[in-house]
Formats: sequence, structure tokens, C-alpha cells
Amino acid sequence: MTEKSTICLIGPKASGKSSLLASLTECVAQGAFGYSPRLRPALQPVTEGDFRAAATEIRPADFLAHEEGDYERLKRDFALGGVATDTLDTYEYYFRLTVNGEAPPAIVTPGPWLLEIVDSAGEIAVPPDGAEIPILNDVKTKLARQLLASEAVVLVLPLVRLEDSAWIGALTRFIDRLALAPDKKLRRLVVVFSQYERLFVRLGPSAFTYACDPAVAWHVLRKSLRAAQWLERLRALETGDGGASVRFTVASSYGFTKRFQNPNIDPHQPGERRFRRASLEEARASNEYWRPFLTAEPFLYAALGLDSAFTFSFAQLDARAPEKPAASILA
Amino acid sequence: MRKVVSTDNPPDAEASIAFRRLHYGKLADAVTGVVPPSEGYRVTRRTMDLDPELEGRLSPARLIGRRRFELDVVAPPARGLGCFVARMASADAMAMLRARFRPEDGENGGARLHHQSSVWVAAAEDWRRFPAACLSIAARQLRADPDPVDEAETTRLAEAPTRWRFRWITPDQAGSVLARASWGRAILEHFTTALESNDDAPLTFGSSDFASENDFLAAVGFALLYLPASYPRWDEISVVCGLEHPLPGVCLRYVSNVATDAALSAAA
Repeated sequence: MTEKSTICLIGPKASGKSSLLASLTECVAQGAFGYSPRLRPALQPVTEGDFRAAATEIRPADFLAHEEGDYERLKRDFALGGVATDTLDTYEYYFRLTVNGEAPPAIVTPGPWLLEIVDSAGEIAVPPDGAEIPILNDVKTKLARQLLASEAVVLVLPLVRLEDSAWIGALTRFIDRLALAPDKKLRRLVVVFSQYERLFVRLGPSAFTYACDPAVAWHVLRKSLRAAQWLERLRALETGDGGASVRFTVASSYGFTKRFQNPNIDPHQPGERRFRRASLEEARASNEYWRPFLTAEPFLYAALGLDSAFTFSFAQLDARAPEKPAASILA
Repeated sequence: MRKVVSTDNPPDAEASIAFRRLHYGKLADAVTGVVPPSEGYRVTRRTMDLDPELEGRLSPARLIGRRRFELDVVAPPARGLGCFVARMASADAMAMLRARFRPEDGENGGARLHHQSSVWVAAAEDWRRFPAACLSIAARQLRADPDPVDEAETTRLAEAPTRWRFRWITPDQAGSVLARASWGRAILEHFTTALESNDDAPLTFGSSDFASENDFLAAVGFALLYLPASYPRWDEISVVCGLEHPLPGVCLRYVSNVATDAALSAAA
């Protein structure tokens, strides 16, 4: 049995949506998530044809052929420093997700999963407040259609400088409209605070140890959400008719360096670049130290509905102290 | 009104072409070229009377014949200036595109890249009558540079068409230039060969054929000027520089770092 699921990535511009997606398969491959290591998920990019086809129609003959697909190009652009996603279209990426280890039968039985993840520029769904931005093509209609047809939404917000963000009004309106849409299929919504590594830049080699503690993430989320005007709108989304389950988590696409454990942002490089070895070619040079952090969390929860040590519900965030996590990345 | 001299030949007459402009990308500081954090993608410049129905056909991705404008569609030597495409956008309009990626923190920066493109639109009739002038003007003036963030939106989004005056040469004069040049024969023979079927007919030139993109565009301009208006595949002709792939139809392409179709040696 195969279950198909569409996940829309939404968030203000430069919040790290495409970076989150670009680091997804690497995060799963490295097991850098908060699920139990015994879950053993596997995620591989597939073509749109494979996604659309029935399971029996998937061609077995090409399994050794290598063709650079859209997702490989996204990963390569990310390795080169990133490209801002344009507003000319929305961009779909396709994956096959399997869970090979221990998981509750109710979770595993519908699998494997074929995932369609829709990436779009932040200017489309969450434009800056107070401005009517002229864009080319009617891509808003397409994204609205995709949102209504999606089973899950991953909402990516930058963790730093939330207080002076110009998109809060647009985000509130977006959540309102989503909650009021009568014909939506939404079952899950994950709010991801990206750029988590930046909180730990002064901690040096201890950074990864602190980041790995779910209690730290719980405190960070509670503090970040304290002044969020849109939070109550999200509660309405969860409690309304056919309400969707809402989770909060943190993630870092750049992650923390392997071996050295510090945040993976090289202060000596122009712009924002990961640490790299100068003697190697571009992609290999960056990958040597690259360990993304928790970027699989929002997508795995969106697909499986399975909580990790780093996904928090409203009830958990409302509690006075963090509940003891069932699983931990340190395990 | 601006003036461009498109040829060294003695002028026979003066003419003019109006271009409508559509710029897409991000606004940037006029001096440093840095994109302010508040700026996102948008249409940054639009001529006031640009047909809204036509606007949908002017997407850079659509003009380059791909679903998405990506880094690797532009050949490495052309990534600084960007790729160039001239082709019909509708039955009545021809579009010329310059598109590239540039760093958000200025031309020599290291930040993430953003897409910047400029499209100029001319009447199809002007394209058929004055192809050399269109390509000559574009070669010199069409750049994918961000519009200044401090320019008023009312000015940027409601500007008048830009009109260019130029001296033009006759098809006969163009023919005499073509007859003397090896590239002239190669291009004209390609037009003839393209008539034998309706298949795609790309012809690629490289730096061994033309020293620069401007030289290539000037040469193609002469060839198109010489081409009769009754040429059956006129509307399928595209002129492309710096794209890694040719466009469908009759495509004349210049990429400085590729092996060419040996057009000139074959024609010699």
C-alpha cells in the first residue's frame, strides 16, 4: 500500500524554506533528527512520473541510471550559497518515504509514502505588510489551489528578529483564511523556527550539546511564541471543524559541524557560507563538515503524524515545564 | 529620444522603434547594488500601456523555453552579463530578454543569488523590418540590472515607451555585407535548410566564429534584414546568447565556450 501526500512549504521570504527542503534528505541520511534511531526512515527523491504513477507502474529499469533532477539541482544551489526562489511559479519536489524500523503499526501500515512537497517564494503567500506587490503570472491562484489540496502545511519562520518582521500581518491573514477555508484537506500544520544554530554561535564546541536538548528547544519556542500575535489564530485552526493537528519545532539547515560541534556558519566567508575545506570541489568541500539539524522533523511529522522529541503541541508548550521526551537525538 | 548607429554603411534613412519594458527581480541600492532586506521579488518596471495579456507571455522562464529559470541554464561565460533571447512572444509582439542571477549583497558579493531580468517588447512588424537595429540596440543597452530602490513606484510602473531612432540600411546593402562574410553564407544556408522540414533547426556559434556576443548579434541582424518578409518560418526564429540549450524552431545561438556546429568551416 502506498499513501500519497502533498505538503506545502509556506513562510516569509528568506526564512529558509528552500534551504530546509534542500537539507531534508541529508538530515534523514545522517539521522540528525529527534526521532528514535530505531525508526530508521529512508527518503529518496523520485520523479513526478513516479509520484503520479501507481506503484505497479514505477519503472524498475532505470534504478541504476543517474539523472540530475530538480531536487539535486536544489541541493547543488544550496551548496553554492543558495538562490532566492522566484515568484514565477511554485515548484514541486517528489520523494518516497519508507519507515524501516520500529514504529506504531497505525503509523507504519499506510506506508510507504509518496510525498509531493510544494516550495514557493515567500512573496506569494506571506508578502510584506502594506504593499501590493506586482508579480508576474497568476501564480497566487496556483498556490491557493495547492494549499487547499494539501494534507499538510509546513510554516517556516526565521527564529531571529521576529519582533521587527514586516510579514506578521500577512501571516495572520494567511492563517485566518486557511482556518476558514471550508474545502481544505489539511490534517497537519507544523510551525518550524529556522536558523536555530544562530542561538548558539557563542557556545563554540558546546553548541551542539545544548541544541540537542529538547528542553532548550521547548524554552526557545515558548519565548519566541510569547509575543506572536498569530498564535491564537493557529489554535482556531486546531480546534475548528475537522481541525488540523498543530506542532511547533526548530530546525537548522546549516546545522552544526561534524567533529567540532559548533554552528556551521563560517565567519570568514563572504555572505553566509558553511565551513568548507578549500582543497576540495564545491559540493564535497561543504559536505565534509555538514550535519543539518532537525530539518527532517517537520516533513516526517507532516507525513506520518508521528511526534519526535523536538515536536511540541500547544498542550506541551502551555505546560509549566517540558515533558520528558520519549526519544532524543542523543540516544 | 536616443540614437543608435547600427552600421558603418552610409545611411539611407532614419527610422525609429518603440520598446515597452518589463523588469522582474528585486530593487537595489543604486550605488552599491545591495538589495535591502525588505525587498522581495516583484515587477520592478513596467511600461504603462503594456498589454496585460501579453505580460503573461513575458515570463523569463517561458521565453527561455524552460519551466524554471535556473543557474545552469546560463553558460558559465555568460553568467556575469546574463543570457539573451530575442523571439516572438505573440503574433503581434517580439520580446528581447536579458536575464541572470546576481548576489543580493552587490555585484561582487557572496550572499545568496537572486534572479534579475529585463524584457523589452517591440511590435512584430518592427522586428521584421528592423531586426539589425533591434539586436544592435539590445546588444548595447539591454541589461539585467536591478532598478533603484529610491525611484518612485509611480515612475517605475507607469513609464512611457522608450523610442529609439537609428539609421538603417537596406536589405540589398545587408546582402552585400553577407556575401563578403563566411558567417553570412552559413546563416543564410541554415535558413534555407530549415525550410526543408518543420523540425527544430538550431545553429550554434562559438568564440571561434565571433569574438563577442555583440559581433554575433550584428551578424545575425544583417542576415535577418536580408531575409524576405515572406520567409515561412520567420515567426519561429529566435536569437540566443549564453543559453546552454537552443530554443525550439529556427534558433541561432552563440555560446562562447561550446564546440560550434562548424557552421563557418562547412560554409567556407
